[in-house]
Amino acid sequence: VKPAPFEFVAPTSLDETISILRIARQGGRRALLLAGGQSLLPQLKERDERAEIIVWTGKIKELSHFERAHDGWHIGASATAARLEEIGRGTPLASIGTSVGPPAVRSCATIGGGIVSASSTSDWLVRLAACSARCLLVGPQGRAMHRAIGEITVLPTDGIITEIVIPPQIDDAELYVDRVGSSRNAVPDINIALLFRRKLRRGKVAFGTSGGSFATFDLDGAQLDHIARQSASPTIVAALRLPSGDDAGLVAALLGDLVRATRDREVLP
Amino acid sequence: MTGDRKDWQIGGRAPRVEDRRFLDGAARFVADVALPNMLDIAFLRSPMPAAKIRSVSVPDELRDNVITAADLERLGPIRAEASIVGYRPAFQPLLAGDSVRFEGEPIAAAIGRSRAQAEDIIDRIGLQLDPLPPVLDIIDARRSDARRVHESWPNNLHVESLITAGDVAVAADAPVTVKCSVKSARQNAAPLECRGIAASWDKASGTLTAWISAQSPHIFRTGIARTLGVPERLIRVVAPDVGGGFGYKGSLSSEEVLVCWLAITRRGTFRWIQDRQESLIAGANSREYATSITIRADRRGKIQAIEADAAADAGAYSAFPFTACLEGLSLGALLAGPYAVENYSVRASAVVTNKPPAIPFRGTARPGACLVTELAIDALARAVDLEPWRVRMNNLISPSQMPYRSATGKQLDNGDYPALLSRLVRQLDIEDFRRAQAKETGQLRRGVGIAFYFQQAAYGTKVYKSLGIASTPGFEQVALIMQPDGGVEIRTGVQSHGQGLETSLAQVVFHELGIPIDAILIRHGDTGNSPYSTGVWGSRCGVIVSGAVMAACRELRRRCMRVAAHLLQVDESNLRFEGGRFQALSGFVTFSEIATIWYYRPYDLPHDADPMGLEVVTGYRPEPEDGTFSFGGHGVKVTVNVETGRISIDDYVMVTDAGLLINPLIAEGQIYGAWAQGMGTALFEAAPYTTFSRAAHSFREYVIPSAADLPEPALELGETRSPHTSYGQKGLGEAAIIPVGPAIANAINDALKNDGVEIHEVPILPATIRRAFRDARQ
Repeated sequence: VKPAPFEFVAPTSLDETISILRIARQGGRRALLLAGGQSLLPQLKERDERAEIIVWTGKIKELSHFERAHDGWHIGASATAARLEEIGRGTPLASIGTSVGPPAVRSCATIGGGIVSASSTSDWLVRLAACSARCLLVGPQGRAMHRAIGEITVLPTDGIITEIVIPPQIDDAELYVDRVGSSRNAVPDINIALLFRRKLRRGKVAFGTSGGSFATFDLDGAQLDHIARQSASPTIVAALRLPSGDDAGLVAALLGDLVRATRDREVLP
Repeated sequence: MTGDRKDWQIGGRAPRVEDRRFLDGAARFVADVALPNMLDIAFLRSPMPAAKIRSVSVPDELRDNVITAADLERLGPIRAEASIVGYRPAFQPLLAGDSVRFEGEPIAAAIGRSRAQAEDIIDRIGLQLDPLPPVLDIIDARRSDARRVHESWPNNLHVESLITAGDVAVAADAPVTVKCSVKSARQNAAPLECRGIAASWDKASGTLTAWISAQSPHIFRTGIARTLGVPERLIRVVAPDVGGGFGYKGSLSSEEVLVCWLAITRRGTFRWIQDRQESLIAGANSREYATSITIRADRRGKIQAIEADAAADAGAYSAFPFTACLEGLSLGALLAGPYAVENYSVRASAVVTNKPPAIPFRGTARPGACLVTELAIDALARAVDLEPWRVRMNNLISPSQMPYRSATGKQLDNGDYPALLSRLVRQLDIEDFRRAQAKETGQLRRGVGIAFYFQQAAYGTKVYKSLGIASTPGFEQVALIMQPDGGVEIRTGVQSHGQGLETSLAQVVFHELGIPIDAILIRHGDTGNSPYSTGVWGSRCGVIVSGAVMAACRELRRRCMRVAAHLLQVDESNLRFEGGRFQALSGFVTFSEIATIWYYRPYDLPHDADPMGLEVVTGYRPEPEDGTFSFGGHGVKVTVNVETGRISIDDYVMVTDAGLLINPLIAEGQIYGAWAQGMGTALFEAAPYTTFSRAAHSFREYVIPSAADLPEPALELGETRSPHTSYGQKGLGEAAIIPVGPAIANAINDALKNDGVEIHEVPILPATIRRAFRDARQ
């Protein structure tokens, strides 16, 4: 399979990109943003997705920053998972990078592209949501707006995600992740992440299932203790408003494992 | 010479000579074949598994670029014939005409200067289909009220046969009866390189050359010639480097024939390179079986009778050359496994469905049959409250019974099956495992499982005579040519698609003639320069082609002996062949000297020199014709998380006996490779086929195991030499794929035995475990 013909452009600035998208819309031409290509390229090749214009974001200078500010990490949307691994070495930031797909994917997959194409069980989505990350969207008029990861359901077709902001609490937190599927390379049945703040004894959980469920919730110390004792108890399922049916038991079981893992780390030297 | 001389003897661990070109990027696959003015082909394929074609509309300006069934009116389908009684063949059209019978079936071919342009043309073809209810499930397809995939047929069966031995009625009152219904998912062999063909018409010679990623160049040539009505002498099929076959490239596809037709009729050069989506959706349909088995036994688990209903999904058409018969009938004939069973009654069928033609995949029906038998053996062990290995021990064919004639007529050659099972049990330390298992609590369950098997391989004529298919093997011939410089060229019609054939055959030549490896060239996979061959399948090359090469070497030696005796002025009886030269007390003569005389100084030859000279064509066929039987067992320990369904492989042990190994290094590679594919069958791979099956159209959905997913298995090798083959070797290439699924399934069932949960299907995914628990709760 080969993609249908398209025009390829590689703008170097955000303004130029917005302008290309706007003009394409006005001219009735379908334009799509191409970041790391892990989702869009196969779709284009299989002709499930078509566009008259493909706009590559790899040269846009405003998308390549990686900064630590007072309100957390500001990560340009073009950052790859491998870059997160590299820059965040020794921090939970790196844990996000290392837990996204297999190594070959991590070298290409961008954080912005990962959010745009995320399914409910996406590695990116679940990990960033557990970290309370938000993203900055620039719309067709050039107006910027923040959205929490996990709350985005529809992206403006002619807008662009420029950066992801991860709040500073990640610096003193630990990220625990898990997924259940037949293989590391398979779409998982469930994907779950727990951001654990040891000093505060608080956690934030995000999970997504292949059935389409996606949720985040906070846990206090008492809840963490309770979960550590009885992972799959109906009480927890009810208290946390987990999805009904089979997914509930699975979420509760994995959550129990993650919470117990936080305790295992305490006893390690 | 690469490596040590002893490495190049039979049984030596010579490094593979072919690997350099693969590692250097110098290998040449079909997609690397670059020819002038070559045009690319893309296919318009059915998006539905079953439909009537209302119309195919091609814009006028594209008429010359598009081929439809209307353009092929005088061209017949691919005819996969077999002489077996009751076989109803479904011949495969090159392009669908009135109806489509599987998703992905080619409807039109588009010609472009590039593949992308050809696909752009496909985009512009109008297609109107009237969907029909697809026939997708094997069991449903056999129901009398099922819609007929082929409208004129009385039912949806390619073939149905009752395979019997003894009298199962004598066991009707047996004290123990166990029943299992076992299913395996549709799979794809998923070679690294998909199919491909480049075909070119040569105006000067009036011949066609087709480079095809194929396992059986001569058989492909036969299929192409018969379908197109072209004499075989005018067609040359070349299989260049092939990136994996696994049986998938042993059957001819309609696309390949159509590309040849285009090259001939348009006097041009055309190419089709199958992509992964085509391969996964339209390219294959393997391993999907549904079997119900009943075992009757005494209270010690001694089997008294086996009854079964075994059905294989054969897809919509019979694939050439193996036909729709092979899978179903083989499945039905193998359910006694390596056990001494006298009373046997199995209804075996090959069922027509709205899926692509079934193609044998490494192991053919053996993994499916082993799954059924070995799951049932464990169920029997639970019923009689014995360790499963003890039940196996009570039923295995004993060495004193060898050679053993099985209930389905196979003559097993030799081997101590119980001793090998004992080795496996010792390796697993099952008693110790049981003690630990008894103390377990919580959501983690541990289990141990075993599966035992044999692999019949290197079949002779008799075995396939009963099927009567085009690839029935006779004498496998090779040509050996000693060149003027004393080097040797072997020409064989089989083809190496990753199994190290160039190395193994060179070892045989070195072993027989002492000629340095650097002076040996193995040419293969080209009908233009080799004797006719039925190709690579059924783990046959190590036995049959090696046997032919050995025979050719010995014939060359015999001819040269006479020349050497003349040159040394001694009687042949006073000559010894040693270290690659003909030795007498007075001196020695080398092959190189004899070659020089034959080609450049014929006046020095003896007057009675063999006029056949230094070119030998000879053949080999196994006697007895049942071929060889390698055997072995796999044992595995697993941990199952009953809450998440996660399965961890804690320990995996293989014991394998394939006789003498010509090259243990290559043999181990084959074993590990086959085992990894078996792990795919057991735990990963499924290509569900629904009313819209693109559920598995890429490796995102059709998950094959990666190295990171696999544990490191332990391997022990036995060496029970075949009494019938040249060096005692046995066929091996498919063996290790056979027992993986049942060994793992049995381990999982052992882990879950106190939960009231049993799994009787593969692959076993985490979701399979969770679903089984949910079903048990309801």
